[in-house]
Amino acid sequence: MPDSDDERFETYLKQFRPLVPDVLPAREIRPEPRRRFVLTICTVGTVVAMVILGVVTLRVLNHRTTGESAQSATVKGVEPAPLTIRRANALLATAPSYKAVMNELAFPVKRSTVPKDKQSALAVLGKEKIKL
Amino acid sequence: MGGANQNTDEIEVLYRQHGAALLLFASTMSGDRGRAQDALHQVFLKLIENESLSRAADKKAYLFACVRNAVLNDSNLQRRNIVLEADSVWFSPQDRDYAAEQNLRRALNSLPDDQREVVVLHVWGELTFSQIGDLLNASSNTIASRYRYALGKLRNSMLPKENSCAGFR
Repeated sequence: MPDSDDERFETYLKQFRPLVPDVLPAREIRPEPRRRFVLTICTVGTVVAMVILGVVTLRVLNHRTTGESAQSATVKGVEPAPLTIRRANALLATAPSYKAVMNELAFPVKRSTVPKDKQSALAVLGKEKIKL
Repeated sequence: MGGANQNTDEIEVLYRQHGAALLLFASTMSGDRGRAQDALHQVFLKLIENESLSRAADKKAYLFACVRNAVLNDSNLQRRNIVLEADSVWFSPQDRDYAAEQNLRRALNSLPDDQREVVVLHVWGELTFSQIGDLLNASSNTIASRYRYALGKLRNSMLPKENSCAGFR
């Protein structure tokens, strides 16, 4: 059986509260490497993203320039001379008939760029008289 | 990751709940509040690191056992006789009665180590005699006996200065 004096003395002793310890350093230590890790990841990510963006932009610009020059070259080669009043008058003056002028304007004859020392197969076949 | 955070949070709660009693226990063992504080931090940081607390059946008793081992290991490394600090304060006394606090500290210092351990663990650590017996490898009867002896000695050494029993009635 516990002595009542002992119990009272125990209660008295419990009135003395032990001092609270310093804050556990876990919270102070842990975020430091994690923050550093996140910062490193962010920096590396930003650099990689910038490099990728730069490469993509360069490729797009390069592609666009090449496309434009090719397209302009194609257009220049195909497009016939514009029909002006002067050109129409000249055609009417030189052409054998009005119908020929209309044909010339509607279906312009493409000048072949065959070198001088070579012959166009189409022209040669056109001259031959084939007997059927 | 979530388990680790949960473990850390639980350990912080336990630190807030039992930190003061654990620090007092370590201080009475090591005799040096700074060394006791270091041992306490070392124990809790290790618990966060290896998550061994989740395997303990009686977490409070396990914490006291860990702190005891840490202080004993430290004392072994230091290879010195432990002398309790006379100046360091262990308690925050009621009504700022620092004379009574010093009186209690002196009375505790005068106890043999095994009796002092039992008093601190039972009164401020709020461990049962059975828990203390498991911790110190002794039967609960032995612990109860040590406690009664220690309490008697404490009362005798404190009473003359507390003006008989009036001080704690």
